[in-house]
Amino acid sequence: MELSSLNIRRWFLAIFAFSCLGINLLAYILYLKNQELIRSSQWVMHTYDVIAHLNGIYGSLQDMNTAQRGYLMTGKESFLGPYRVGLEKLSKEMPELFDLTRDNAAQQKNAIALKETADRMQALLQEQIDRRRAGNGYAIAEMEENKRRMDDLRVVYSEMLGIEKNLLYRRSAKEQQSQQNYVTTIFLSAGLSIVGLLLANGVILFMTLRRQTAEADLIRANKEMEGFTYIASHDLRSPLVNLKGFSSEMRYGIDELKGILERTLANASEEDQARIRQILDEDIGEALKYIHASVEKMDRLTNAILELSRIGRRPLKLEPVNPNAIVRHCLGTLHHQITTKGIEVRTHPLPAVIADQLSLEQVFGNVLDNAIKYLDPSRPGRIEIGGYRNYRETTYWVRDNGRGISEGDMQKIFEIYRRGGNNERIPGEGLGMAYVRSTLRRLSGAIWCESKPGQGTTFYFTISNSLKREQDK
Amino acid sequence: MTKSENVTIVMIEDDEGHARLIEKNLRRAGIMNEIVHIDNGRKAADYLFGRGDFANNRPMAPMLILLDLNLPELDGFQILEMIKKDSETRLVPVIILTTTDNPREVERGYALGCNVYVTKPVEYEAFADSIRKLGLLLAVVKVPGADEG
Repeated sequence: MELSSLNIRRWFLAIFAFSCLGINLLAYILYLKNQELIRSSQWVMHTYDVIAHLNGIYGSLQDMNTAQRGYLMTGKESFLGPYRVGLEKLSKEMPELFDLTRDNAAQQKNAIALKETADRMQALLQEQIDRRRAGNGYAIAEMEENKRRMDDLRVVYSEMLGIEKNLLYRRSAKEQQSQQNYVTTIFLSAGLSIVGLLLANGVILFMTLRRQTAEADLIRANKEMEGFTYIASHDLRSPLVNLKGFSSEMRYGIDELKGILERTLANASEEDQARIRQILDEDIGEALKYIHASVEKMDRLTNAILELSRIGRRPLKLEPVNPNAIVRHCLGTLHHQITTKGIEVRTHPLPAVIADQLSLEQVFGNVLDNAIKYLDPSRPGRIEIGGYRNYRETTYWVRDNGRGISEGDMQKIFEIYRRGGNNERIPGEGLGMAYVRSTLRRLSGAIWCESKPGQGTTFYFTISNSLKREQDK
Repeated sequence: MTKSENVTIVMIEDDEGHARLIEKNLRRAGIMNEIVHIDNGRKAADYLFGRGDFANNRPMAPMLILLDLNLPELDGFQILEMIKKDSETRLVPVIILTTTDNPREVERGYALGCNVYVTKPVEYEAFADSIRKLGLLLAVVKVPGADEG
């Protein structure tokens, strides 16, 4: 049983660890997919940014061109406003474009070309403005030069825009793929989690069922054992009835025979008389005495088994029990021994417990009886009773300054018919402690002792605090 | 007038020793009735209902049954059940005399209709005393059919 519950615990731990690992792995995969999605979105944004810059630069140069032409034609300074704005924007956007295209060598080269073209154009425009301002006019040929510059610019601009649009197309496709991957991963994770949960539930169900079967087996085995004990003790009794009965009949026969012989013995020789008396009174009497004593012992032993088997049959009545009253009652029944032997008894307040009244009475009765029985007659006896309660169980202890129990006897004293050493002249069947142990086991408790030979013994016994809950289950 | 002396005591007991001790103590208690000893459950049923070895020889005299429970072939409860089901033996007094004092068995014995349930104690004085009391009981018990016999 213990082995199998250990296995179950291992299984649970393994499943738990596996689940934790699985969940973490799924989370990590989701994280990676998410990162990928963010990256691909960033790339798309980046491309849009580059395109916006290209458009901005191209637009600025166009504005500058238009404004400058207006100035050249009219000579009014106000036309140069948009020219200056364009110039300013250009000075800002051009370096930004350089930064933005750093990841792409081809575009970087194009950007340099763009800048050179733009610079040349700007220098040309500025030169014409300066000349106009100095009072010179402008020539048509100059206009053609401007147009050529603009055409150069448009070529570079278109080239760059084409590349970026191509990139945008690819990156958008990649972003979409990432998005899809992400969603798929989420659904897959959810599915896997559900499968895992179902599996775990299945395993738990299986374990529970197996455990229930094991418990049922145990209960059945226990019942069988009880039945076996009961039948055995009764079938053992049957031959005892004969032994006791016929040995008694023999005694009756001998007694009758003696009466007859008394009357007729006078005729026998003196030697024969003495021998006959010896046979009747001593030999046969002795034999009968031993037969009787053995049968009685056998009867007590079988009764002891019977009594032990009865513990498991009596239904427990769980109710709040006051152990102080029980101890008072037990000490009352032992009062005579306590006063004649001059035993000093100290009782500490005992914690209440929910248990079976009768069981607790028997346990305290046996333990206290033992404490008194095994006191050391060479010193005044002292017995102390106490208890404490923790979350799981309530513990009571009975301490004496008796003769003590040797290390080797510690377990033996709880076995049926076995008794500790140096028990001469102390009556008992070796049943009390076996009985106590069985009783406590039914109360989900235990009993043990600490002892120093020649100094005394402390018996501890516990009762589960959750008996009621266990029974209600 | 009750002629209880005509009543046959049918002792169904598989342990030869127990049978002897019971008989001895009944005699000692002054019971002089005829005692028929049967040591097997099947044989007991045959005897009571005139079957098998006892075909056409069903006992006519009024009787009283001392019944042990642990018997070969048919156990005491089965025999008791048969006795109480048969219209002719239904009223025959049955005394269960056994080593078992299991409360469940005692209860079952009474439920099936036994008149008295007696446990054989190991202590011989107590055993003899039980049988003696049984003898007293036999002396006063009214056995159906005894008056006509």
